[in-house]
Amino acid sequence: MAKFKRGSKISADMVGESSMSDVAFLLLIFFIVSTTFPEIGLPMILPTKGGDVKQVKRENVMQIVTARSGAYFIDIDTESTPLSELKGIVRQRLTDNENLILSLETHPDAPYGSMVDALDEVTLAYDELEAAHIRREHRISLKMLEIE
Amino acid sequence: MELRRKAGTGARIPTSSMADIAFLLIVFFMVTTIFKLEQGLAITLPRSTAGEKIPKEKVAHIWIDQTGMISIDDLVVGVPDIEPLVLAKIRENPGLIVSFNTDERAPYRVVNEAMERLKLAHALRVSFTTVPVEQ
Repeated sequence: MAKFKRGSKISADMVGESSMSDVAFLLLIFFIVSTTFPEIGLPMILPTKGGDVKQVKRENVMQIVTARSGAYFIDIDTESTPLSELKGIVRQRLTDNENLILSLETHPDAPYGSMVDALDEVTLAYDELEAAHIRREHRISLKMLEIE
Repeated sequence: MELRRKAGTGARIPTSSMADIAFLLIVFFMVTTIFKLEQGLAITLPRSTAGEKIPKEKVAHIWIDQTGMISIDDLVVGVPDIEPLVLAKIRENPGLIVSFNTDERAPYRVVNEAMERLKLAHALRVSFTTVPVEQ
């Protein structure tokens, strides 16, 4: 008759350590999947509809017109301005005139991306001048060109 | 044969399997967690360098694709539907930021129309979602 040994050597109080790495990877994968990256965007505050309409002096407005092709025109210029030069011009005009309001006027058929590019450059110009206490809130207006 | 009764059996609860139970619970809750996913539309976002982080918990998304199709909450909607939908959202969360996830090739007209509707709903805080440019 076979003899059974009383009491095995493995104690009941031992936890298997080999599966610890599995658990670690499970946690790692879970957090990789559940992590979402913060959204990046250009914030704007829209004016109220038909609200307080302010009269603004002509010389305090700088128009940046985005044409159908995506080209930019400043004020009544007939020559288009490349996007790379936009920031410098805006910054110059802002240092000359603190009360400047930028009016971004876009052709209805112009691609949205070109408007955002212009808005980005304008925002950058304001950000660079932030030390001079020039704030961009309510100083950028978005408009659509009315085409007959 | 003589059987001896063991005297004084201790009332011990095995604690070694507690860890197993704990992990079982972790795994169970991980598997049953459902992330709120928004399908949106297939778009290519414009790029920006001046983009800021927009707090996620305050954001409602409007998706506009290349053809000018508008989607809110995974529903394709027309321009007149924007106002009531956003109005309902802004009642729940007065600090709402409406985020435009718009394709860079979409005509500006659609975005402008959507913004006019947002003004009617008094949703004045907007954001144009972009992809950051590496410098």
